[in-house]
Amino acid sequence: MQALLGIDASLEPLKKLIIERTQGNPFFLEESVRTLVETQVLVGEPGAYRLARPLEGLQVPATVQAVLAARMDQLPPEEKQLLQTAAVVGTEVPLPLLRAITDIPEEALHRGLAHLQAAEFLYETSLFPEPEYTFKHALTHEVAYNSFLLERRRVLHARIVESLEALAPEQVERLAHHALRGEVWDKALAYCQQAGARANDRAAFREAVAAFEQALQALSHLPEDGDTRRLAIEIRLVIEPPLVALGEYGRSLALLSEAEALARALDDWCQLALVLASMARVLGITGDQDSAIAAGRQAFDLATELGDSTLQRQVTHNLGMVFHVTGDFGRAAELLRQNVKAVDRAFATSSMSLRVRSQAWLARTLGALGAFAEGRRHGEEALRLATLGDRGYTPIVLPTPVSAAYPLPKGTLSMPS
Amino acid sequence: MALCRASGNWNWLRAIVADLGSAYTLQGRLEEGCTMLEEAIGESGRTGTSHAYPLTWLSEVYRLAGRGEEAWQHARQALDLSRQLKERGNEAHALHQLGVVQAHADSPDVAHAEAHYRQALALAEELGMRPLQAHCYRGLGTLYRQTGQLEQARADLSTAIEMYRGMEMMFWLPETEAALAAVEGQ
Repeated sequence: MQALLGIDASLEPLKKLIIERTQGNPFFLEESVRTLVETQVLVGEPGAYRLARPLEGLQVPATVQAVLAARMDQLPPEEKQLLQTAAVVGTEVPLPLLRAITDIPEEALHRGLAHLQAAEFLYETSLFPEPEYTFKHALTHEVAYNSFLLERRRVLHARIVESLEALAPEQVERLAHHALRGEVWDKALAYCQQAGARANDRAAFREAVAAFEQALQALSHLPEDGDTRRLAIEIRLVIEPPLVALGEYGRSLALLSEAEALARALDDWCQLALVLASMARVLGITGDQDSAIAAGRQAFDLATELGDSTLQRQVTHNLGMVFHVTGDFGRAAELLRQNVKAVDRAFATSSMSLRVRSQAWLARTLGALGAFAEGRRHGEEALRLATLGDRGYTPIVLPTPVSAAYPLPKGTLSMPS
Repeated sequence: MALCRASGNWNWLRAIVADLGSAYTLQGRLEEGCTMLEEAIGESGRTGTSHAYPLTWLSEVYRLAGRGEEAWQHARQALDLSRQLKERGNEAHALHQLGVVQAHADSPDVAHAEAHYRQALALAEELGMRPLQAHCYRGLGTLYRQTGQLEQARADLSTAIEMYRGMEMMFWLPETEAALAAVEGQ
């Protein structure tokens, strides 16, 4: 307090009052002093202030948010609006984006930003490749954001989407955020799906689930037709792997049940087969083997009837896993072996991830059967494919639990080189 | 394991810690094995998934640590759970483990050990689990040697050795060959 206010004896009661009100919170304390300076209760220089008015009747707001709001109200209207606009952009504010969404002339924009920096609402965090600003504190951002009317915020978010699409179309997470808040539902749906897929690829499962759930939320605002119902199934299918990774099996099954009902209502047998195959996998993990096998068999029959080879491979893989869990290693090996061969035959159109997973599970299954040489070959190949090139984080981890274990029944306690 | 912890991938983590726990147990690193297997069981409990496999291995940790009663209880739990969840592979392993615990007790329960080995063997044969079949033959052969049934001991230990050799399961081979040599010398 001494460094902030100074040593003038007249300041002692004020110091006591501020410490009491702010409970010593440094940010609250600084903002309170800044308010007193801006309202000319205090005069002088930092570290050497004097009280310009009697302390009696002095109002120190009860919360730091109230202090910040009072300070923002003291700003000239165009600067307050600039600060609020910056808050809608986010906690990090790239100048090109801010420029694109404000109607303020360049000179006034720079003057306003300079003043907001001098008032310590914003800081410049980088100059290159483009100037970028950040809020002094998360609370400063929150107060500025919430001080904007809801409708104006929505319009600005929507405008940010348009500008960002031109300036930084690769920033799908940001685009998703603004499209949701701007209630641009069709774009929100597309960007949330992309953001979810990206998060899942880098094994950020919570983020992936959150993004896919937001995609479902966006979808619920679009007019219902065959396409949106199919999308509702697709999103529930892609949310399953990250949910399973997080161990949230109940939630995953609930979403898959909804997807099953949607697929049946649409008579979409292809989607239904995929949903049932996913259900089989999750039911198998949770120990409901009878239901898992029933769902897996239904999926398998549907895929066979439809003659869709991509679908057949996915379904076969999941059924193979269920057979492994139930100890039906012979059938598991047969299906997984068949799948690895099918993926090889249709290399161009096959998912590498599926190939790796099938081969890894086959390795483990062969380990249980004592076919170690063949198991080792598949395990090593799965690891090689998983770590080949830039396949991201997920596939590298993916085969580890399955293929790392195949030497265990043999008593080989170190991984093959 | 570190990658799974960092990304919150509990589904794979429980499988990895269980496998690592069993590998530690085979190496005789019982404390580390115990920690891993208990984590696998805790994680499975939290997410509501099966944990018969780490329970079986934890039973082995306790047996090797000389805590026979806990070894028996864990193997029993593994058997009950695997039957309840219809995981027949895990059921076969749990039956074998019950045989091991009873055969190696301070006062071996020969009749029950033999029965459990036989049940495990029958199931392993049905499921094609050849490594487990070899372990069952080794268990039975060792048990018969203890009880002086040398012909049967010789036959089962020889079968185990043949299977271990056929599958190149060298880890258990020296111990089984030594047991057979001891039978031959009697």
